Amino acid sequence: MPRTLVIDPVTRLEGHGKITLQLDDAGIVQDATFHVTQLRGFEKFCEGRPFYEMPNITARVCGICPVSHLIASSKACDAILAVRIPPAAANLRRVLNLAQLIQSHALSFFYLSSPDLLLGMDAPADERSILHVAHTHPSIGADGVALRQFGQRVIELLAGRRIHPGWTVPGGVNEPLSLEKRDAILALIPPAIAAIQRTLIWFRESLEKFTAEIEVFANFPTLFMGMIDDRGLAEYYDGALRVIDSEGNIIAGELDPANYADFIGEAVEPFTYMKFPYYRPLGYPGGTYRVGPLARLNLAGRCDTPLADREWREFRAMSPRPLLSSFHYHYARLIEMVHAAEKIEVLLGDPGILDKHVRATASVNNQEGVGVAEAPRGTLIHHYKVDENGLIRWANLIIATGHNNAAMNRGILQTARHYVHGDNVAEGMLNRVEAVVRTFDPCLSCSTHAMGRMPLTVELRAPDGSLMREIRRG
Amino acid sequence: MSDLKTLATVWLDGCSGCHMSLLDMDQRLIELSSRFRLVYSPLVDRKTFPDQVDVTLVEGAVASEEDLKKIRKIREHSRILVSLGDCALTGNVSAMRNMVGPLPVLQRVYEENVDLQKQVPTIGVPALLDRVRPVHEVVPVDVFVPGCPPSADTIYAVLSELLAGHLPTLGGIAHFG
Amino acid sequence: MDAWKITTPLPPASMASIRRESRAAKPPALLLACGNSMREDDGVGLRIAEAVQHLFPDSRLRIVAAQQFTPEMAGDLAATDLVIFVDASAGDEPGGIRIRSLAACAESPDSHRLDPPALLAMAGKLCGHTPAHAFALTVGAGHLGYGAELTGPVRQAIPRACRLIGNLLHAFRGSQA
Repeated sequence: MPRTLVIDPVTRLEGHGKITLQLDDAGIVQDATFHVTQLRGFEKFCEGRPFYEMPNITARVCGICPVSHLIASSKACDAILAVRIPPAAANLRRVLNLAQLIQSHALSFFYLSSPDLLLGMDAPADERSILHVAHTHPSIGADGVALRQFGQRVIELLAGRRIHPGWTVPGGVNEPLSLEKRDAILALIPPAIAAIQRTLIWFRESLEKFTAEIEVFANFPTLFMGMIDDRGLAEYYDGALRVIDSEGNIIAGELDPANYADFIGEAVEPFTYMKFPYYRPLGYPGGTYRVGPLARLNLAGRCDTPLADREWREFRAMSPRPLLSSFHYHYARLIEMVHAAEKIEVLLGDPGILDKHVRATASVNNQEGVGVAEAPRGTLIHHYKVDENGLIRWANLIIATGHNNAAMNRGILQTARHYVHGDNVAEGMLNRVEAVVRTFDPCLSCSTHAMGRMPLTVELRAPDGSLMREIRRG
Repeated sequence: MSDLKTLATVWLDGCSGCHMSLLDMDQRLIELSSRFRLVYSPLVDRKTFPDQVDVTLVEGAVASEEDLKKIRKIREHSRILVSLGDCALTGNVSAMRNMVGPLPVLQRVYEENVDLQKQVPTIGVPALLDRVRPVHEVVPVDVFVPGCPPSADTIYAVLSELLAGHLPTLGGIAHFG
Repeated sequence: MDAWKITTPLPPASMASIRRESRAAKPPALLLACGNSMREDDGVGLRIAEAVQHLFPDSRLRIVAAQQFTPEMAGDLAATDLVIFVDASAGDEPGGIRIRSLAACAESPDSHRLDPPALLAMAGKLCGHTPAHAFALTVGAGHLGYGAELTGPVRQAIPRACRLIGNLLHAFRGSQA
């Protein structure tokens, strides 16, 4: 008998999502859809506000990655001011960005996914939580809490508070870094790196328990996109965008992020508030691509810090080509955490990081600005247009999680087809369908803020069809 | 077992920052957890709200039909309901769309300047309410904790009091923003 | 939400909900497709109707396909509570699928040029009932010249359209219609 199975809500996920599975008479999964059920409207209600408010307003797009929005937004504002920010400011923003990467990845890995990884996908549902892991695996629980805390402490030391800090501003940052704070941060790094390395050991050993999941958790060819520096290495603050295919061929080597609209298009599907970005030259859905940790490590030529590079080589040794199973996002997250911690140490080791010049000041010199950075989940784009007084006329955000939408939907169908059959609806099977979404670590509040792209013309017509008024915006 | 209070946490229309601030209690969260059972939360896998919960923390404003249904059910099944954070308290950033209304937002997002398949989603997604509202406009609230987000220290103080069976006094430890 | 009927033994509260509706009460859902199979992509509506017939052979979905929407169809509309109109659309990108929720249009329909809202209005006026849920699924046409073949992107849209029709049937009618 045909049935609909609804998983509502998807838990251990940021934001609001539900999954619908449709089974036919024979009990085969015919279709699976991932519904994102929240929408807020940032670009629309920011119209009319001064551009320099945007970092603090858009920080509230997300409580996990406000720093990502602060940085992308500030970069867009830098472009409106037409300033090149002082090098110390750029590096301080880099450190902030990397600290956030660490805390966000720790949240995803430990708080959201470790119950599945440690207790197993079939563990009783009421045991699958970080609080239970803290009892059954106290040292791992402690590592998880400590690693998230490490990232948040660094953010707090730099920016004054952990969530929605106001330190990143148009033109740079608000305040230079003091010697005391720098040393406080440096002291936190070695135990953090040790904790990540401990985690990599048990995680790698656990992979053999998940060979079946690795096979079917969104394991298919897609493009991959991410930011690179001029050496072709993964870059998180400022660089060009690169697209590769599933064989590792470079499809587009160095795209200017400011021209994102040339190569990223967006489609709507009627069953979800989250839209579907696609790589324009290959159309929709052929131009499906993934972003985030797996994409970045697939794209990278190597890692430019020693411990991370060693881990990265072992990771890539699993295949001569890019790794395609989204299960490996978990592994990639851990490697990025090591890389970020090492990178923070390098950046803070440069005496220039204490420079007092951390802000460029100017007024509106450009009426348009784009700011792009790599958030924990992938490429984040902020695009603003302002009038000559600096009031926002139009804004557009493309969020990391959004880029992965098509791959997530396809992944759910693949996983569901493998694990859900007829009357066998064992709870652990449905957990696996959720678990494939968790590999992407989606940030659903982020991804459904609102989108607006190009100028709009609205025609007001009278009932007889005659044109009463034409409104142009943008 | 009967000593353990049951705790639930819910996010409506918010950014999850208040939940992150809850997690910012760091090790104190693990310590506190010996005094409660987390029976419903984005952090655990229960799919339906339990029949009776001692304390429920609610983050976010009421913005969709689904939020509305949820908060009414939550109120009915919770002894103490806590509005956590400025979006739950006043609407805050979530309510900024009240300045334009849901239709211009939907049109901007899904009809204007989408490249493919312009349409407002209608399958399996809840309709947006005409106005985003704070929680207490929809259901009675027992405790209000302002902040964007409230600090981890504030949340720790509030939770400690509630788990001890008292309604917390917030003078001096909480503020908006 | 309506009460779920759980028919296999499942651990309570943590399971996904299984939804099954009583088959007896509801009239068949209606798929109303129109198009001209001799005008290239204009025939996509008919091809979708054909494909849907194979996928959902159950008697609880009625499929009506014709060259254009006619007043006689008002009677079919009045007899159902879920209708999906399927047609090509000249304005959209080739192969792009849109689903729009429909309301009956208020004005008197021009009987020479019947579109779905006008047909719905007719059903209400003449037969006293309009379906509770009405949707228009359109597929963007690439070429509308003389010919019996669909262009590539439009042909590729057929399975996607069938999936979306299945989504609609499940979302608004519970189990397979």
